[in-house]
Amino acid sequence: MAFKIESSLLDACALAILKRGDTYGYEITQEMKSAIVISESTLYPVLRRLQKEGLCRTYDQPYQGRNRRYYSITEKGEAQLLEYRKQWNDYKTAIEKLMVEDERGGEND
Amino acid sequence: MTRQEFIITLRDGLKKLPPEEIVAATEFYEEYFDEVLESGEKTEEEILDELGSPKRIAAQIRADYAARLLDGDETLLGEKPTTKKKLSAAWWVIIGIVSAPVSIPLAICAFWVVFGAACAAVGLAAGIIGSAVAGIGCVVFGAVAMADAVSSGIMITGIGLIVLAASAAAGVGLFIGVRAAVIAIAKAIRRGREKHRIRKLAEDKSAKEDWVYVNRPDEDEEAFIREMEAEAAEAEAEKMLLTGGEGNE
Repeated sequence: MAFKIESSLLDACALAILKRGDTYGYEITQEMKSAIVISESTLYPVLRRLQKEGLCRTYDQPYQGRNRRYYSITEKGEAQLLEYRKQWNDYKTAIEKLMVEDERGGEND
Repeated sequence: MTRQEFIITLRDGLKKLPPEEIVAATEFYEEYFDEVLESGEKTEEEILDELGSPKRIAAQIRADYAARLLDGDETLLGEKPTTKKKLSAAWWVIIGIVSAPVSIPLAICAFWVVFGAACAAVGLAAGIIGSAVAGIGCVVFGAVAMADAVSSGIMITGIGLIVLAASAAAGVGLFIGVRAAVIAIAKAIRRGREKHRIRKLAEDKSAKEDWVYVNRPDEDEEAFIREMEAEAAEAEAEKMLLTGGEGNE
């Protein structure tokens, strides 16, 4: 992909995935990869950061004789996600306005 | 490389972080291996290939940890380094280079002062031991002499006891003094190391800001890490010159 993905955008995406329900690391990676080009090793720091900032918390559940670590969005995380969504909308609209301007200008002339 | 080697290298790369961070990271990757292997989508070799160098992953985790630390999410460090502080550190280096003709002789002087003090302490210790031995000698000689000349014997024993008491007092004084000096020097060294650590963390943070969040071809991991580190240091130096120490970001 031609565009670099900023860490705050990764945080926002991860929070959006967690908002749909508690899930574990591998599944989060898969969901992220279905949308953006991201290396496996990028996700761990993202999740760790969210956890340390109190935007998500973790709990372990036994699965096939080992532990599976689930990630769950917190209230603070939901508030942050709301803010991210608002900012993303503004950003998206602004960029789109720039990118699509030409076509619309052509129609009006 | 095997899965085990991957985990060991990763852990080795994180050894300067708190144990809690090392455990969290290794558990995450262990679980990742388990999940992918159980899904049957990839072999261990393919996973390792995709993950890339554990050294680079460790560098990324360190950078992110440093960023969190500097953003004040954790209060492990007593003080937060600011650009101003880093600037003054840079100035110290410049001043150090410019003042080398003066500071090097001064450093040599300082060394000889410390060396002289150590010699004096050793000399004092020897003197104290010597007088203690003389005191004991006096006491013994006085006791023997008492058989022939009572008054002289008592006098010599008394002198011996006084000398013994004086050298014991001097010994305790010397011990306290040397101990205080050693503690002061150790503290100064520790403070210097801590400053160095904070500076290293600040460099890690700037490396993180330049990090590209996409896949990179795994041609030469080592060279990539070196390049990142060099770039980060350069950017830091430039920023310091441009901002003149005002504002952090």
